Amino acid sequence: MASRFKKTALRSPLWVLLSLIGLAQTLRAQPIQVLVNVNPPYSAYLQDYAGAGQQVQIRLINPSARALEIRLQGSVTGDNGVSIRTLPNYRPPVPFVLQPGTTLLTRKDLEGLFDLNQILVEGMNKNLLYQGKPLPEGSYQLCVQVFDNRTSQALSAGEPLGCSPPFPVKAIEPPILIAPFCDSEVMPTTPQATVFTWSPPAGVLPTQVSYTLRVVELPLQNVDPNVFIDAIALPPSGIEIKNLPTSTFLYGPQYLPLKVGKRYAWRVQAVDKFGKLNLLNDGKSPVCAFQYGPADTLKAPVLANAKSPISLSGLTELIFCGQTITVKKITNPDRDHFSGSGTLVMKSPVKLSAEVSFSDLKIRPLAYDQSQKRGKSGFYDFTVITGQLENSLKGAQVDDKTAKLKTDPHTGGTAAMTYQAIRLVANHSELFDEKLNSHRLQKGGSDEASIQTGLTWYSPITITTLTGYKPGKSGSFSPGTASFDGNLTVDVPGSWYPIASVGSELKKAPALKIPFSKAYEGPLSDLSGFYLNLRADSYFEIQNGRLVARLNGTVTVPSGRKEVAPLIVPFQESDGITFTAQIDDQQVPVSVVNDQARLFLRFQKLNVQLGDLFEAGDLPYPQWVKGVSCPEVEFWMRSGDYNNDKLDWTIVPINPVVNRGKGYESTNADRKGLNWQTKFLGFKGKITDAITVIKNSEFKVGHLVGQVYVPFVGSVGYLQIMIEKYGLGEADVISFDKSERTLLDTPAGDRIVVKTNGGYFADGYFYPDMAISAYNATNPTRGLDARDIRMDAIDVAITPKGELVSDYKNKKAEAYYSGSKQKTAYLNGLDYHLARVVLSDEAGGKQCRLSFNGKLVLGEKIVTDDQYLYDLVFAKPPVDDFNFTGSLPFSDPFPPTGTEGGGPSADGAETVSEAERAAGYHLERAAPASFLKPLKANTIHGSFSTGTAYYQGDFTLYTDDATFGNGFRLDTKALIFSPVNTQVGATVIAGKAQGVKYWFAAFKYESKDTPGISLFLNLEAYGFEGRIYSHMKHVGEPSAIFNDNYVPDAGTSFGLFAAMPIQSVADKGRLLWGKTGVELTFQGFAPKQITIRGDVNLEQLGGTGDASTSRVQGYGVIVMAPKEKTIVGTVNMTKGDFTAVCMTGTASFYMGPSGFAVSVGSPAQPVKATALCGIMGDLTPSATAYCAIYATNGSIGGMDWIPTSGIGIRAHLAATLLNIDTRKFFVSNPWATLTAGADADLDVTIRPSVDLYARVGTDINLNVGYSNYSYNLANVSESVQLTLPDFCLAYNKRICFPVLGGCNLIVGLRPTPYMRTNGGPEDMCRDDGTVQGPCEGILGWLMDGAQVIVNAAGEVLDTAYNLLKDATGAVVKGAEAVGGAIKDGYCSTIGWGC
Amino acid sequence: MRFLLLFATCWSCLTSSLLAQTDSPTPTTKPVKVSGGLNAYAGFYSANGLAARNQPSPVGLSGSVTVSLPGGISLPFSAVLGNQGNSFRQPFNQFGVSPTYKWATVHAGYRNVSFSPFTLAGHTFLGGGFELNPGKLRLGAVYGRFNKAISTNLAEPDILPAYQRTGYALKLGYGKPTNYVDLLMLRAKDDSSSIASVPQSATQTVTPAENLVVGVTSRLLMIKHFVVELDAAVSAYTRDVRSSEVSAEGRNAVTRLFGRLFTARISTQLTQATQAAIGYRTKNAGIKLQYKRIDPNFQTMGAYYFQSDIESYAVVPNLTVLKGKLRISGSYGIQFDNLAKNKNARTGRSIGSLIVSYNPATKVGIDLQLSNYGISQQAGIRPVIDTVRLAQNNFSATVNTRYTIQNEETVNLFTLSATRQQLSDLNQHTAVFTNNTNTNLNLGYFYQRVKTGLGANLLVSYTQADLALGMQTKFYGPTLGLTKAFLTNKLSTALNASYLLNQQTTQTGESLNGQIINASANAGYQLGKRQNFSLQLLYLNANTGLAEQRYNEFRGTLGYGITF
Repeated sequence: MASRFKKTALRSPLWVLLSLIGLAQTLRAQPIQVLVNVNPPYSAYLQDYAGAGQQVQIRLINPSARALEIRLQGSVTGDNGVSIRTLPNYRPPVPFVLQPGTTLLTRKDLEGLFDLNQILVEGMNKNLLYQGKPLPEGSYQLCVQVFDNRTSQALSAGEPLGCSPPFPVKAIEPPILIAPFCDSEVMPTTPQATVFTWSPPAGVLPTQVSYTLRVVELPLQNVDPNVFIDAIALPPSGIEIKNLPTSTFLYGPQYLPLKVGKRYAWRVQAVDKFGKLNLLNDGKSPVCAFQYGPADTLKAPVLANAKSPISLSGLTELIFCGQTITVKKITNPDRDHFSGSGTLVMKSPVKLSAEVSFSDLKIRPLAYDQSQKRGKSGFYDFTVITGQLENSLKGAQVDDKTAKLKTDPHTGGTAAMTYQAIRLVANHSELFDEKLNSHRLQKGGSDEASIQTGLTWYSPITITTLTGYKPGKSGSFSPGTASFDGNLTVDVPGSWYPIASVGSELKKAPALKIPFSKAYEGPLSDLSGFYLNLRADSYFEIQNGRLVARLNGTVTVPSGRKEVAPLIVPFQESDGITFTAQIDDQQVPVSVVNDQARLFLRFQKLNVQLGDLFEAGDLPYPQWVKGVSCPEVEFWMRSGDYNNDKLDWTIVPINPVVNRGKGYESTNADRKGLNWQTKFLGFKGKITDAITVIKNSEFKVGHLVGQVYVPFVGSVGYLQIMIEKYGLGEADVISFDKSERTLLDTPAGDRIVVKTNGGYFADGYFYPDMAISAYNATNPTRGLDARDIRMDAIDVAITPKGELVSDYKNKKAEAYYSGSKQKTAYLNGLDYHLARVVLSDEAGGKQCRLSFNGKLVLGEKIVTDDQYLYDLVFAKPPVDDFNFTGSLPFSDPFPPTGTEGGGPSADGAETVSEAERAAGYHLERAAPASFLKPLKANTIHGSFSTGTAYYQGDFTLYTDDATFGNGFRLDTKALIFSPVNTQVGATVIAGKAQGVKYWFAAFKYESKDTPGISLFLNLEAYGFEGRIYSHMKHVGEPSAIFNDNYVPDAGTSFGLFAAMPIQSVADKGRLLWGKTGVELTFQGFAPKQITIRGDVNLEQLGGTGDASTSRVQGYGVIVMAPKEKTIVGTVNMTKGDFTAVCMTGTASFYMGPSGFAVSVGSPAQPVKATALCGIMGDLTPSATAYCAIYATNGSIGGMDWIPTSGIGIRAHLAATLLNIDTRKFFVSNPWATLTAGADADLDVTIRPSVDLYARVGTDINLNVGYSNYSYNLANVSESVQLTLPDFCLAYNKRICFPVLGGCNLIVGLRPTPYMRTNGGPEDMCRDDGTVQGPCEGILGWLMDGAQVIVNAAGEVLDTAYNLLKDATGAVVKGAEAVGGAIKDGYCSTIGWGC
Repeated sequence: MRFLLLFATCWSCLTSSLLAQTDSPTPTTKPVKVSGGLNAYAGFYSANGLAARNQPSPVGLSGSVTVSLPGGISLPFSAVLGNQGNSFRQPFNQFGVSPTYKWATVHAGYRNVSFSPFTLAGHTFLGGGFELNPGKLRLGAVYGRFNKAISTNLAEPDILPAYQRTGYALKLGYGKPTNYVDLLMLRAKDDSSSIASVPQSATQTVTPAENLVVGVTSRLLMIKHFVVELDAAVSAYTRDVRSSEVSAEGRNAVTRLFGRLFTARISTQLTQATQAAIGYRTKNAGIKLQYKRIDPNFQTMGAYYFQSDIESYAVVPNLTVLKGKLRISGSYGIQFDNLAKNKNARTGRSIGSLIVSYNPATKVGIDLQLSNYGISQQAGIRPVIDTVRLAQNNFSATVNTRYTIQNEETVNLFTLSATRQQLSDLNQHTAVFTNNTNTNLNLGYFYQRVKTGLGANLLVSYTQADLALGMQTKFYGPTLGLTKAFLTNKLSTALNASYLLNQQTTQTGESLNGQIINASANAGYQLGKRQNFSLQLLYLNANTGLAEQRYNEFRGTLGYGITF
């Protein structure tokens, strides 16, 4: 260091001088301390020392108390002779001001120090620095010295002070990967043992670094390994091993297995153990990839070349036209001229083995063809490609040394073959497939294998052979003169037949076919009347050494009766001598009445057995008999109404019938277990048994047994239908599964029960044997008690739909009882002699009515007349959702049931009984009706009339009445016609309900014609009405007091009512007729409500008493509720015809705790006036209005549109001036409508604050249309709004045309004058729903532009606004004062509320 | 979610293409062709006794599919999806497409495009670009994001921080694919504001950088068998764009030429790289001479890290004689570093390899692989210090022999392989830390029944690793395997189990015994011609006697692959 210093000093004496001066200065003054620290990793770039970061820290400590203006000089010197220093004359652009204390220098402070233009470089090429190259390796020191910026005095000590400790600069290259070589293929070993090798970084001790090896499987073959090296989790295999001390690594079996065929990326990172090295790229080596084993997975090793010569020892079998020859001797091994001898073993169609010799064959091993499985016979077939072989079979060894064949059990008899010769010819061409390493046959070749043989079959068919039969050229035969019986023998002479290859699967081997080549026929010896005809194309089929005769021909089956023709049964390729022949819908009549078949058998197939078979154990009796049998027979019966001669057939399957030469006969009469679900006369039924006895093709006796479901009875009956010679006969239900059915069962105990024991069917109805009971199970004195009323005396019939009809179809079913037949029942415990009982459907079919008509025995000899009816109406049992289930009886005692029960029922749903289950059906039964509605039973009406009067009385008893509980009502009325019309009535009601006793007494007298009580103004009262009652109230509105409909009410203690009808005296009510009344009700002894009502009709144009012709009609009601302190009054003019104008409307007032209000009309019921009473129809102008003055502080019942607080006026007026619709005048298209209207609103509030809203508007609308389509032509509306005190005045004029648009002009004065040409509701003072938005259309857009100009004009109006505002302010203040005074006055007047 | 979405996208494009294929069989219109393949896998991994070496449930999808549309448009899609590690946050699930129509190729998505080894060399970017070859003109341009901004945070201190790096590359060339000269340029820059200020720990220094590379690349087929390759580039690389600018006087031509494109700063370095090769190749023999020189610290943002400060010469011959029965290939090269002469020592490497493969008959074969890698050092700017002198020789040799006995029904294969790898440290000071030798001997017998697809194999292996510091590891034992194919070879199954005895000698001379059990079951099912399913189960039980090597692992993978 010292020598270099000297050297440098010699070169720049000035610097030395300065330094020395600086040193002296520093020593003299308080020196600035410089602390330089360089942290690892140590950069090899000079620039990094200029830019202070975390790596370089330079601190200056200024011990003096003042700030100093300084500059810095830096140097980087290495032990390798490199020296870089700041030029001594370098001056920073801005001097650095060093504050007292410690200062950490920043990048900015230091940057100039090693500016390439301000440095002195020694020991290296400065250009390298220009190129940004690193410093040469070495041990370096960074030094900084402080100078006074002005005097260049050194303020800090020079080197070696102000220097960092020596630090090494050395850029260490990362490891370099050696093996596996980059992009090489590594041979996989088992177990894996791949060695990874890399070179250690140069220039470091092995102990200074450790290594991290990372091996990563790559997802694709052609990807950049760099991309994936750090994604350790991606591949299914990858590994990272840290802290490896050496530069090799054995990837042994203890690590995750490397996958053969995969590509891997690997990388080694050198890790600095002590954190001092400057490892390039963080010590990470470049990434390499290698392939672990070939990319394609190893395939099975290739076989030896199939072209190689045949190894004679290996060739034991030869495939020749599908036949296998076991080679015994080879005389010429040449593959193209292969010769020798061997054994040919044939397993099918016949079994034989024969010694054969062959010569000059071309043979090749053929590839295993996957489509033709040859089992275990080998991968290769040595197959004859071309060649010929023909060998005699004379000496062939045949299976069991005899030529006998087994016969199929369905063929029977015995058979023998005579083998003669075998011939094999192959003619193929082959090709060698290099890829498959094997030969394969080319298409288009042929091979032929055939055998020469003869055959004889001794059949079990006995036939009467006619001698003299000679087959002519045409195949015709001439009948012989003599005949003999014997077994049919078929003899086929020897001939060549092709055989197919066998392979190993014998069952699939094709059969050898040998045709009969000649026809055979004759009557069958042991089946009388049967005749057999076998054609020459019948043949034998031999497979696996077994023979089957396939017969073609016909057999004639006799019917057994002369009048029925025999049957010719054709067959084709039969299964031996037993077969099933299909015939076309054969019908055999078994009963003929009046030359018409009434019953017959029908079948479509026949089981035929031509001879005795002893081995065919799979043929059961009786489906298979010698002769024919019909396994599936249907029995057809006429079931229609033969008066109409309407063909209608019932078909049931029966047990098989057979024909053994004596005609058709049943083998077993009773066909059980049918589950034939059908409708019987419309009723759901099921036939379970068919009993038919047939002999000699004739029906003897039979019937059908089954079940039938009868609705209403709601049960299943046991059905029996006779079969007669003419068809189906009588049908009876013997008993019902469930004979009793409860039709009604109320919680109170009332019941209606029907009991049905049986019945019969006739004409589509079921006539039940039925009895009815109606009674109360708990209380015999309650209502009716009638038991076991038999209905068999009358004809109650039930239709399949469950409707009740009588024998006379449209009448109700009824039973009469008279004289001795009178049945005794009880009504409320009294004797009741039934005269008539009617059971019928109510209209609609949902309900039933059970009516009893009889005499009530009140006492001995006191008997009412027959008219005393007692009706019970009850819900009819709905037609049960009933179905027979599919199961057979007794076979499954618990068939699955569907949803059990019907709808909800208080009594619980009836469940399916065990019997029902066992019977093979199940019933979804609705619950019985749960309500009882006796009619007319409690009102007794009586009347009496004389020549001058009429009396009428009604007495009604209430029993458990919902309203009246238990009690009575008596109404009496007397109309006296002479001498004057007088009406007197009285009503008494009494009883107990709602836990209290109630009563009511009313009296009414009215005599219109007699002079009444004079009142005033020429009015008189012509009658009187009074009521007094307790615990009752009248029904309806409180104001409807004239109504005399009262019901019990525990809330009213008692009440009084008095009323008078009034009329004008002179004209007896024509001018005025009405009624006044008052009703008082009490709660306790305090008045609850006082209601006063007056009705009036003026000028009855139609005459006295005809209110409908009154010119004016109306009423007034005042209701006072003292407790609530309210008085509510209403006047309602329901009609007002004043000729020039017609008016209706209401007026109300309210006074009470919620304040005070008077209104004329309301938004719901405005006062409506129509000019000229609407005589111009729609053209008539009309107006509606309502108005209210109110002072409220709460809600007012019945006038809820009035604000609930405040004092104010609300008024509305609307007028329709014009309403033209052309469709009202012309019935044509197009049409047009024009409406014009105006309306005005005023809403003024005085309290709590003065607020005014007024609006006037008009609206004109023109529509044109065609048919249902309407088009708005124009809409013109105008509206003015004014609000105060928040002053606002807005004017809207809207003219809109569709598409074109228009103008929605709004001019307003709030808050400053404005104008909108296309304004909207928001521009008005208040959006009350009357102003529409801007017109959509072209004009609207143009108007927007105009608005800009108009807005300027608004400025002018602004001034006017302010003037107006001041003026109205004064008005409002005055109004407020007036309002306050009104309210105070009102409150002090009424005293309530406020 | 994205995983599924992309999979669906791929799937739909495949199926629709396949449909299109079947819909238009007419010969007049070229049908849409789909080629390529997809692989998907999902698995599980559990480890007991050691920290998990894999994700517990790895899952992934990879594939590349090329859809060729009528009219010559081809759309090569590639996608790689999967769950990735924690420490790596550059986009890994990638999807991209480079449709090609006649002479035009467009790139979109995540792509790895290579213009030359020293400019744009396959660095992944997310962006777009094109390559046009109208006639003999060769134009190319790409633009995209080369790095995604990644900030470190306290929660995940291991993440490598990165600035967002965007760049573009241009190519202008002339020629045919076999004979061309291209001029290349790449410019990329980090966005220094893309991540919050990086806390520069002592070991992690990330600075926003900037790069401009200009280069030339050429492939020339001179006379029939001669091939000349040349790649050269100059790179201006600013390590920290925050450093101050260099005054614009400009000291060299490149600075002046590219001064407008690139701002030279004091942290800017200018480096160059060149590689050239001349090759001669005939049917049975070939030789290639290579030269490479890369300046120290040469780097480009278009390529991943590669070795720099290197000058190398290599000769790569290959020879095939005896009608292909004998194949010999080899290589020899020497490398030096310290090109700037600023290193203390100059490290030289000599690399040689020889591969001889002799297959006189189909049933007999022998392969020999030899390689030697020597490192030595000379004085650089200083004499070499003995203690750190790097002088190593890494030799490895592998011999594989096989012999097959085969008849129509069975195949019997015997294999014998031996590997020896030896690292000899010629520096006595460090030898004790580095010397090691690995020896591996394998004797295998494979038996296969041809027709039934039944196979069995027995292997006996011996592996010995003589490690540094006297440590030694041996393991030896049998491996038994069974393979069987079912369903006419559609279903192939394999079972393998190995039992290896393990002997270890530790640094302290202690001898430990243990064993390693490896069992695996594989099943592969070929569904039709194009699809296959695979199931793999692996079980590893290691107990080598060392406490940290007593563990077991179990993993399973279910894979699905389809090729078109």
